[in-house]
Amino acid sequence: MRRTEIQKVAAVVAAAITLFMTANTLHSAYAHSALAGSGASIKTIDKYQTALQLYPKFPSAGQNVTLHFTVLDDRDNSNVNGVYAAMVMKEKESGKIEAQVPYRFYELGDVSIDYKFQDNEDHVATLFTRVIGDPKYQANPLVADFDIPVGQTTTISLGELLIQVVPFTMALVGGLALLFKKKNWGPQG
Amino acid sequence: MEKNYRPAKNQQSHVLLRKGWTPQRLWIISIIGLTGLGLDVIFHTMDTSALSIVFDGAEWNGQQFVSDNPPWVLALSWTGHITFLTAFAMLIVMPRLFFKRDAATIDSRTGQWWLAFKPGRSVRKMWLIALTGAIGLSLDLAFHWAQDGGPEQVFLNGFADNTFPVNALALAAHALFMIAFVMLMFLPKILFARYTTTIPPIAK
Repeated sequence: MRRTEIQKVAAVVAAAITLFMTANTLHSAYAHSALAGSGASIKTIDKYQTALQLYPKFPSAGQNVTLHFTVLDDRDNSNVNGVYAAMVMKEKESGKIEAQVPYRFYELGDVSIDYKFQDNEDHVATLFTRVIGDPKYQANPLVADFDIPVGQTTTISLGELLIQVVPFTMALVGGLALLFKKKNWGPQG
Repeated sequence: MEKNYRPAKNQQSHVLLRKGWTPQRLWIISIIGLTGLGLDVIFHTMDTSALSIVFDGAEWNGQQFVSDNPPWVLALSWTGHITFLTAFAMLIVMPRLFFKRDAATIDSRTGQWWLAFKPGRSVRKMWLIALTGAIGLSLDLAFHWAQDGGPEQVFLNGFADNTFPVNALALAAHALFMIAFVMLMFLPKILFARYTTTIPPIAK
């Protein structure tokens, strides 16, 4: 009887996960959301979502970086067709404009811009998007700001990390195992 | 035996479960916790990589870990997660780790269950795991505070940066395993009505 109870709970949990994963797959397939699970920074303005993904994710000065912006219709998560987009790159602290990329036509809402940062400082990338066919955002652009930290990265090799992680884990697990083996651990009552 | 007699915590050999709880139901919390952990692995895999369940805040680029966090924040991340996961793993198998498998007895008067500890196990040792878990959780809290600017990110991590269904997955995963973890940590308080050195005769 009680074994059956556990089996029931396990079955419900398994069914819930299967359902969720199926819904997830279906949603991804039909909604065509380029942003789901992408780790992109997302800004929502009115009915539009603008996202930025960086390649590589943690840029530094002098490195070639691709800024990939995506403009989506928030109502159905589909790419916006036909946009003019421009970008301004500024130093965050001083506000100094480092570069300007003029308006260009993009058939889909995918805007890729190659860029090389000059300094290891925080930057702000501003994307201006004019949406063709939208009375509001064709005349005045959608403006989305994205913070980009540059050159403030920490790199650790696998070897360096293992030298720290393995002794720590062994000490933790070993310590707990020792305390568990000790029969009369703790003060006597 | 007097009603309020409580032996020292390292000498207790039997516990009486509160009404409504059975030895098998202890596993329900474990299953909830395990489900949460499984969903969290799926969330991290979809968000960045499965490695970030331990090394959250850093990204493996195929050759090395890269992060925009300083080294001390990363240290908080992996020490917190390893400590937390070690305790969580022990809490998930707690019924097996602590109690004799075939020594559960039902109290004929109240219908409550008596469980017998395995040799060398005690309520004090349960609190030891809970303490380890609390330390791990505190380190994780400090990591998220340093990285994301708020301790609530322990719970909301991945919610704001993602769209549906990944943000729902993140929230469900964190909610499930945090609930299970907290329940397992406070198991001695939540589940046990009484501790004794022997089972009262009427129960046998």
